[in-house]
Amino acid sequence: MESVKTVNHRSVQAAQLTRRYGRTVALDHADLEICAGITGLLGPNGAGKTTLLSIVATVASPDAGQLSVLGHDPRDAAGRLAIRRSLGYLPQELGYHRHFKVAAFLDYVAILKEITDTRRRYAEVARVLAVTALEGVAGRPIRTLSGGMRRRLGLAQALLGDPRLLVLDEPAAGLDPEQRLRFREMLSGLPADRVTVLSTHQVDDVIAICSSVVVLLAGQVRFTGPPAGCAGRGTSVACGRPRSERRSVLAVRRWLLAPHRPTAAVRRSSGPGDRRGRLPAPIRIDRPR
Amino acid sequence: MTDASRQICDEGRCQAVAPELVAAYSRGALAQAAAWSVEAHLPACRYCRAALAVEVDRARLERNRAVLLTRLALSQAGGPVTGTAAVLLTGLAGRLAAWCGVPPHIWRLLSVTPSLRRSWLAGVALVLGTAIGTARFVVVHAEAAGATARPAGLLLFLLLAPLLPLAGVAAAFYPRLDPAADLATAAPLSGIWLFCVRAVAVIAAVLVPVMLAALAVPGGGWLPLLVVLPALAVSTAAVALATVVRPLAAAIGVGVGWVGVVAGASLTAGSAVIAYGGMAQAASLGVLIAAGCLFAARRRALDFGWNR
Repeated sequence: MESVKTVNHRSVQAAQLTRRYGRTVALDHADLEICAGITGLLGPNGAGKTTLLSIVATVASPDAGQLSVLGHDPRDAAGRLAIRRSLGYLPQELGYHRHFKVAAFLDYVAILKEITDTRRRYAEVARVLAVTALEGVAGRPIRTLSGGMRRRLGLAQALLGDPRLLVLDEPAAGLDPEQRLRFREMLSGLPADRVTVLSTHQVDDVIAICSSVVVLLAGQVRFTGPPAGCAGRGTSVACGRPRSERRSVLAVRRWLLAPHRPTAAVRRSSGPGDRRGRLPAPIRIDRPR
Repeated sequence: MTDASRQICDEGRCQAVAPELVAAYSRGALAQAAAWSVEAHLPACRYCRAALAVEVDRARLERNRAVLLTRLALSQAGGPVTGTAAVLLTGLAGRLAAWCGVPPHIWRLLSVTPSLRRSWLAGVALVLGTAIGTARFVVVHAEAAGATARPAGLLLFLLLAPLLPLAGVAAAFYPRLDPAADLATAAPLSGIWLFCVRAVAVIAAVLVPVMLAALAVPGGGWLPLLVVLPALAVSTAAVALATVVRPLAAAIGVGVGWVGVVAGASLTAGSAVIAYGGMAQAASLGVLIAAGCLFAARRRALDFGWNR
């Protein structure tokens, strides 16, 4: 896809998207289309996941390329406004004012989402508190919440206003396996007609809840399609890449190949080593039996 | 429950209240007096309670319950931020704002503005206090030496007076001072409207202490009024320039420009008070009008996220 020729009002389309930070190329001519359903954005640290999501969320601008988000062009101020009115965004590092309490923070975000009618805003805050099971802590300061609760709060603020596009950057980062399972259940319960894209290091998250996956490596899109489809591409996607990167791609392929029999690598991916969000190291490629 | 009412309701159905009344009560369609009558009857009549349970919209009840709990949680929260200046603002300034008719949602947006926090306003007060102290020190020493030094003593205050509102406006939108900056940027209300509301509030919140401090400066004269136009011109120029270049660069550039103006006036005319004189007031008014026009023309280019 060299340009966004046919605008789809229910998807996110990118063509030759490029973003640089100084001499670092964070996104390198990325082409992709994200349709309705849950799409997983998979890749190691530095792959460009956060950069891509921040561009889709209109928090950052690309240096080159074309982007269409739900049929709107974010280069235009009116287009950005339309996108933001349909957007629920969970950044990778969600900050809170130090003494914010849960309900007050959601109330603030609801106002930013143009829900200015008091009664409607309170009802919306109550709704997302119920969806994320945070009703019991509505009056607590955020700083007293556990990491899992804070991520649920992040998801709650993204759900305010029932957005058509959900952009979640590492929504399950820092969660233990049990919390991650509950988070997956929460995400799986979201309506399927909205466009949801979430970035993750965890292949099992992708397998569990995503209907499609985009694999990013070094700022380039290496694969887009259903998770099982990645398994059928053989090693061609890894050819010509540095050894360490080739191992990463092969490991991803292996994990997607056998979702029903978790390998040691997948089990290790749920352990403490992932707290820093890296693929398990050293990567052990399981030999076929 | 009285014996008479128990007799009425023990005959298999309610004799006191018609089913249609109970249905109307569940829909909220009764007049106040009739609704109170039904409510007073309900504890005594299990048939009416059973009929009400069938009629009630459980989903609406759940929503109302959730809204009440949220309202309770928000009232317990006090304000969006506790333990900082917002507590004081919510108590005194919040009541004043409510009395002036400021909508609650606008007050909540203002109360999380970085440059409306107690720490920031205390810093402004400290800086102004330092400027006043410096002016008085210079004046006292000059008088002790038998010389006139009033204009020289005012240099620090004259330099800082327009820069403090400028710094407040810049801080209101500097991402590193707002922990939830990304959320605010990606929200539809992050545009011109929010910018204007916060900028006006910050300028007013800082300009008033500046004007009051000008009263305390020795030999200030008409200075409390003379600081207004230059302060507005500097802040508006930075805001207008932010539609052309990056906002931080615009604020720094305009600030450096103002320092240059004051320094130049001090060197050429021997007194920085010239920067607040008649011609300077007219120039400030011109800058204010030009900057306002530029901002109005290019306001859609102002986006703190997309242009980052």
